[in-house]
Amino acid sequence: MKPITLMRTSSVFLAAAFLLSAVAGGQQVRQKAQSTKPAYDLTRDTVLEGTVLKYTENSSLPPLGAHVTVQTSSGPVDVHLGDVRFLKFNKFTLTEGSSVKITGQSLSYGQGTMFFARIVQQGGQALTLRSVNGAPLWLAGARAQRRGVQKSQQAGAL
Amino acid sequence: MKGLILYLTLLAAALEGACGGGGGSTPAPPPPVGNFSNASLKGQYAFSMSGTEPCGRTGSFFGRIGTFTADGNGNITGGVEDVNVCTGTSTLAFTNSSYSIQADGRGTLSLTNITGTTNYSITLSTISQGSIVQTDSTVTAGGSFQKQDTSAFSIAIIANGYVFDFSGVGFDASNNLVQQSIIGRFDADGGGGVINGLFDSNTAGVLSGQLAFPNGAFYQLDAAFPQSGRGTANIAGKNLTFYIVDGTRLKFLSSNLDFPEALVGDAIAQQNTSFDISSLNGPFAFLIGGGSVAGPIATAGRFTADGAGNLTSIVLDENDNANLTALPSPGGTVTGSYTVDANHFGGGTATWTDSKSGTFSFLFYLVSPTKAVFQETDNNITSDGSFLAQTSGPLTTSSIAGNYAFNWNGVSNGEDDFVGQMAVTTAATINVTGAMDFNFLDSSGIRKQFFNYPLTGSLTLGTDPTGRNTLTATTTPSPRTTYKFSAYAVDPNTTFLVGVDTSRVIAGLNTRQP
Repeated sequence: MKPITLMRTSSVFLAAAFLLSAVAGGQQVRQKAQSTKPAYDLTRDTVLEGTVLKYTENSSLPPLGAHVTVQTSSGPVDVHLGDVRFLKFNKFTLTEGSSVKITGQSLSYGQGTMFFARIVQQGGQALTLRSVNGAPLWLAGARAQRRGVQKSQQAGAL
Repeated sequence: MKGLILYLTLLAAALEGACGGGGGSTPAPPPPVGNFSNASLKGQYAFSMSGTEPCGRTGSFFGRIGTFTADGNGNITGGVEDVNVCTGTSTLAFTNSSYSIQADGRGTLSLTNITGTTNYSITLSTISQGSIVQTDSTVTAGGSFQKQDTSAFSIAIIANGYVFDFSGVGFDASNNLVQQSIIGRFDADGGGGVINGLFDSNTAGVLSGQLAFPNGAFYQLDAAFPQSGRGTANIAGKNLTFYIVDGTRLKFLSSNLDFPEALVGDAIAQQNTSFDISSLNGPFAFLIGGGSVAGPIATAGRFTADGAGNLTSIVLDENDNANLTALPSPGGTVTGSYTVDANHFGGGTATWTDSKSGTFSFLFYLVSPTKAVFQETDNNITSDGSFLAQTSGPLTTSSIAGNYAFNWNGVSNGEDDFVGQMAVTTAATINVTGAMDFNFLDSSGIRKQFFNYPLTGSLTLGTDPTGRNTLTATTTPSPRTTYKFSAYAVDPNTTFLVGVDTSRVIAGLNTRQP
């Protein structure tokens, strides 16, 4: 290791003590500002039930991606589904007029709100789109299947 | 869609650089102008990139790091890479590979291993580094490469403090594979030992808080590839493969031991000093990218730190899957503050609140008083990148004129990656001309590659050029597309870009060429 300055040496010793306490305590407590961004909170999940009025694979309106407009008993609701390729990969196709059940929640987005789907169900098929924290699951794609994908399904040279 | 998160592997170049087909027809590009040639790419270079691969008929995140040796005559004479794809990890040696470089620094690179040939477009910002985009028919990725110091291929040279930023996909508490960012720092002892390791992880918006490295941290070189600078390590509890650029930079990728997790990133030597609140003093520009509950997100901006915990002159543009937010909001005011950890290792927090748009919060680890890795910590956002001191002004029309290598990473229908070169002149209106290659997923889900596409546009300085400037760039043939950016200058040589279109999320970096 390169020589370190006396000042740094002392800080290292101080830090060593800190690290021991950090390990024991799990983590350093920093002051953190209260985020005003919308938090996906599983306890606030609601269920939309209705019929598919409109399904758009690649919406030009934010948030970009697949949207479905669901006619519910209280009116139409625009729902963000995410990456259409993830829906297709899971052989999930929404058809206009069909009954659908969507679990998720409405969060502030832009100048208004958007209903972000966590689970979409149609007929006997259910697909989880987001984690319990609202994280998109389509990012990892087939990687999430953990070696379940056969080599032949990864196209082309590595 | 639009669902992939935005990874800014290109920012690794920023931390150093600030110091100093498929479907497309080929239009007639402007004749390349400059002093680059095949001879400019000579020696051994380490590269890193991340992107999207097809896997099981859907897009999937993947990473790639490695090294290649260019002979100055268009031949790649050797090299090896590690890839982390959805089917697993591989270490592959290159054979019979080639490259070409045009006068403007743009070029192509083909790397062949036992599985076939992968193709890339590159742009040199200098003879020592550049940007790289994979341009295969089904795969896209973006990243950077830097010349290696082959004399540094020893464990003893890794003897410093290092700050790191890894991003990719990792497991959350429910065992879902989701977006993840880990930033932190450690001291390498020159013998394979790691001490004073600290990190903060953000796993799909769930924050770990600052943690000490778990037991088992180490690094070692790989005797199987002694000429490559390849090694393995455990950093922040993650099992990684790395390549040495030199004693001040290492490139990392998750190893097979952590599969299917995949993280990509760099570690940069940390200045040997005792950091405190006064370490952050002056104006800074920043760029971060990642994902939110809505999809990809990118944010760029600037702030001024006063050395006493206060942040002022805060300006930013955020593109959250096509929802645009600009600070200060119309009629709003922004106030901010920051802290630096009492342990003096350079970690800290930054927070600012717009009176109308709310609070933005971040963590950082200082590389030096002029550089840091930067991670957003707001609800449901996993986004990271860097901030750099705004120096070496003044920023004027004449001082920004010159040639720039650029690299943009974006998401529209899928991941899109761009690499090219632009000349900026002092002309009053159309002052940008250039050409680029890009790898693009169209609305029908077909990936297409476009090469030598001319572009024209304008770079317009704002009233305060250290704040928001604007860049528009239009590709002149079909697909005629205009890309609009807010541009934040680090200095006359480096500019951070964030797209402000509502049809895509894009971020990028312009780096001046000599």
